[in-house]
Amino acid sequence: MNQVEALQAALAGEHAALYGVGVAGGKLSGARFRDATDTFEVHRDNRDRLSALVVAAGETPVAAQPAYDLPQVVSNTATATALVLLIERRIAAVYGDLIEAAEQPAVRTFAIETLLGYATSQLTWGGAPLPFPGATA
Amino acid sequence: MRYTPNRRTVVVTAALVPGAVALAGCKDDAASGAGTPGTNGAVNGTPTSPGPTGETPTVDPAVVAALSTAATQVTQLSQLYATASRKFPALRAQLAAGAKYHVSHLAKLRETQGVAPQAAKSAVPASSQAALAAIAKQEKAAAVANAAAAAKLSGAPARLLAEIAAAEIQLSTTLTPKKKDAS
Repeated sequence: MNQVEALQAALAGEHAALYGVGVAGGKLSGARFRDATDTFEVHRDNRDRLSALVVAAGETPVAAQPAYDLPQVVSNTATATALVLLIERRIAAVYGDLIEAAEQPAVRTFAIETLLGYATSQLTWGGAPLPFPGATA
Repeated sequence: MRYTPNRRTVVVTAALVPGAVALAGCKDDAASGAGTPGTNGAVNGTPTSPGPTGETPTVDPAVVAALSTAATQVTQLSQLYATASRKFPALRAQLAAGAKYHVSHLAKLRETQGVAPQAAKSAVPASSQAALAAIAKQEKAAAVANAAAAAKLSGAPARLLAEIAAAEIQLSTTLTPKKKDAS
């Protein structure tokens, strides 16, 4: 995987993450809803950053799908929280790929900072520390 | 109004869009403990030139130096966990994950030819809460150092250091004593 392919994969992951966090947010309220809003904004910012990097590389950013299959039914606070945690873990692995494929220092630094951000976010969503956040399972 | 997907509108994208693994692509195994990073074996033996057949591949000295520095930090952290666990048995359960993960980190770092951690000493504060705070602080410092080192490398070594930094951030956050609610 080269840098552009990894950027596109990360962008596709962010599109999917935005969809999933949006669905989960609809089942949350209070502090958890605010957490979801914050998480959504982070994914949106990272999507925009990735789009810009893809454009800068002379490529067309991959578009979002109209909808995504969710890995689990989201029907209440517990399932919504679990979905966001799953998204934060899986998107971290996509950024792990980007770190490995990065050819430009600025891209690598962005990917590292984003991975660390999602590692922290996992704790917000009830996750326990992992030995290698960002690893492909 | 929030868009709610239904059976007709939801499309299967995992096979079409690589990044959609964020939702549906890979195995999630949070409880696996030592885990297998995506850097499996990739740090080992990068040939520096197409030498004759049978020549032992060498690793970039800068990579070896960076990974050795990280290994030394991990060794220091491991000793700190061990000493704190001995001194404060009540902390053992809380420190178990971090102690285990650092063993995994060191093993992964040592897969790269030439990586050798230096001996380390660790002093543990007198109280259990101070010990926790000291470990959390050292985890954070190690995360910052490893993230910075990762940015200067490339490929699998960069990923490995970034993943270790991410684990250290998580451990630091988890072990940092919670401030009392002011309200």
